[in-house]
Amino acid sequence: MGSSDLEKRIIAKVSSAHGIKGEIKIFPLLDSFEALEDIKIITINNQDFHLESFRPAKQFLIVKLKEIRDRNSAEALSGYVFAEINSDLEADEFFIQDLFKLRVLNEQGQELGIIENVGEGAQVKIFVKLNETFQKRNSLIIPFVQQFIEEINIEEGFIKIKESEFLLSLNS
Amino acid sequence: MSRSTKKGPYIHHSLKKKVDASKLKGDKKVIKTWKRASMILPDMVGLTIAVYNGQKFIPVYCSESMVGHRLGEFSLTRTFRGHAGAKKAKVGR
Repeated sequence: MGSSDLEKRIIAKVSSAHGIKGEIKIFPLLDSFEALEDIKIITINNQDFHLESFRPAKQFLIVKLKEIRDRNSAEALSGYVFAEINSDLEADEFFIQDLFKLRVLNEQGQELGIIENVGEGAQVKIFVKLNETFQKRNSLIIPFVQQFIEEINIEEGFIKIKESEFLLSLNS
Repeated sequence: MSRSTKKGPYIHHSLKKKVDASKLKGDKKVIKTWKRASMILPDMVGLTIAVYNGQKFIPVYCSESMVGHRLGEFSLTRTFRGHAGAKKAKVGR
């Protein structure tokens, strides 16, 4: 097995300070907390901090940082939390953030629009903002399944779909 | 308390009729439904059903793992527009 690739990505958003000992409450933007166990350093406001410990609290995480020892310092922190995480992906797996703004092409290679949102949930859905040529009020919604997705090319910035006529007819 | 097994899974008769017709013909005509409480049956695997979420029809591709769940579970009524962070998505089968 080769060494895993590390990539700096947003892993959470700072919510507020917690308690008087400099702990902060963050909203995790990860699939599971397991990824956090390997993280030693996090970046907030372009400043690096050593992650000492973390514990879940409802949908949040309470994080203790080595450099932050009082509430005032904790209150000064805001914005997104960056960290280097393992970017190894399984086959047909993608970071949701990488899918945003991809061009959506139909079977003939004609551009339909760009991805404006990705709906998470029991079944992932892609929301496409259609080009002006389509003159449709609603966006095109595509289930993220092999039945409708032919190819995803992050490097070249496009996603090719199948059965576009069927999908376009849904909200016409 | 769970639904009595004697009754079988709940599916609205109008939706059942459309599913049966689609399976019989094998056509790709869109099945639009407002019956969010209807269960996904094994007959529906492989079909794409447009489920109304109060605003628009959300295409739901029925797979084997979705059998027994209700259609409304896959057609969310609220849209979360936050940062995706490091969350991953896998192309489903």
